[in-house]
Amino acid sequence: MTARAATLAALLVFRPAPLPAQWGGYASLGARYGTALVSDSIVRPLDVRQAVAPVLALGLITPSDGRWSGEAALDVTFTGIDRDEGGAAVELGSLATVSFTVAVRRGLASGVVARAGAGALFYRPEREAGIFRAGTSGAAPVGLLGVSWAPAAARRYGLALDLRYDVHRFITPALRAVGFTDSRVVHRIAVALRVGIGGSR
Amino acid sequence: MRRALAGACLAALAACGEPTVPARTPAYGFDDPVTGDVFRWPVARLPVRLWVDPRGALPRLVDDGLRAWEAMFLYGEFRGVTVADSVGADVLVRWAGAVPPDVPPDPGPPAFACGGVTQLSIDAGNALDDYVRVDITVTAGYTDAQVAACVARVATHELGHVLGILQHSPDTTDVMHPSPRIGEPSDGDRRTVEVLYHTEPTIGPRP
Repeated sequence: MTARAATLAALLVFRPAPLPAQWGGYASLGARYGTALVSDSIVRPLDVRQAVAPVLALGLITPSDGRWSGEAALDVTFTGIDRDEGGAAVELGSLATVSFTVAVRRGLASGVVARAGAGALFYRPEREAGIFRAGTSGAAPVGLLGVSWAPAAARRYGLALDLRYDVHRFITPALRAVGFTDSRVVHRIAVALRVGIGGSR
Repeated sequence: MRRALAGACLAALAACGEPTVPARTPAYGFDDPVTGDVFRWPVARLPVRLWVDPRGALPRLVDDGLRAWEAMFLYGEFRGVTVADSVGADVLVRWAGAVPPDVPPDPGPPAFACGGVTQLSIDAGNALDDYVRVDITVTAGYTDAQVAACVARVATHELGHVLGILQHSPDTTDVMHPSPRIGEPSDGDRRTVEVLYHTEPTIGPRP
């Protein structure tokens, strides 16, 4: 965990030289909240919940035509999952989610850039047990909306505050095996500090 | 146009609302058929600690049985571990009588070449007052391979009782049938133990 934190910190502190032709990039570190992965009822209702967890993202931004640009991003979250039943929580291990997304970006106002896009999201459980005992369902389509805001004072350092919302559907082969036929919608929201690299940010 | 496309993508992902939760009904009873009492291991007592007679194939069979039962659960409801010292264990698993040789099991039709008994001793306060005790016995007149196959099935069956299934299944395709013909818990066993582990117990573990 310490090594992981050190890597994240290093990514935020280290700022490579600008990329040519106004291509840009960024690294961001923040926190993410996600809604329940599973809602079930066995005698009484229970949920499988994700803890608020650190999120690391790396992105590449295309040159801007003045208003529009494109973005590709890799986003990783390491989170704990719990079974919440009648107010009592039981730890179920940890989980990494990795998403790769492409998005279109548009400057809305000075220092404010909005983006919308889509991509694929993967779950990587710590161990194959419980809802992951038969593995995962592979890539899940994910849609995202985001906005970043760089106040004038922060812009000179390449810093921005980033808000990202994304949505995907979740199910696993083990859940299908016990009779779940539909996947569940999972909403996630992340707040992060973003450090820009190069031209477009 | 781009904005509309992004909105359409998000709407498609979020469409269709909540999934339907499958109905959960046990395939057979798990409570005490006489008193109606329910026993299961509470979360605070997990993992359940089992001391296993180190002779013969029993340690391996119990370990396999534990993993098979653990795999029945979606939400971490049960975990069991074997321990080297019986002091502090929750469950004792022993051979009662002769120890059969550890040979490959007979792949043929099941022969009922062994037996098993699980005992839960309960005090006046409706709590366990002793170890849960499992005894495995070998029946004379069968080949070593038939005994090996039988002991594997019976070990998993008795572990079902250790988990708290206090009845037998009437279905011969369940491992909790009184004369188990299969070596792993079935879907019926899974449905039963799943409901058990979300039912409030009336029998507590040893203090």
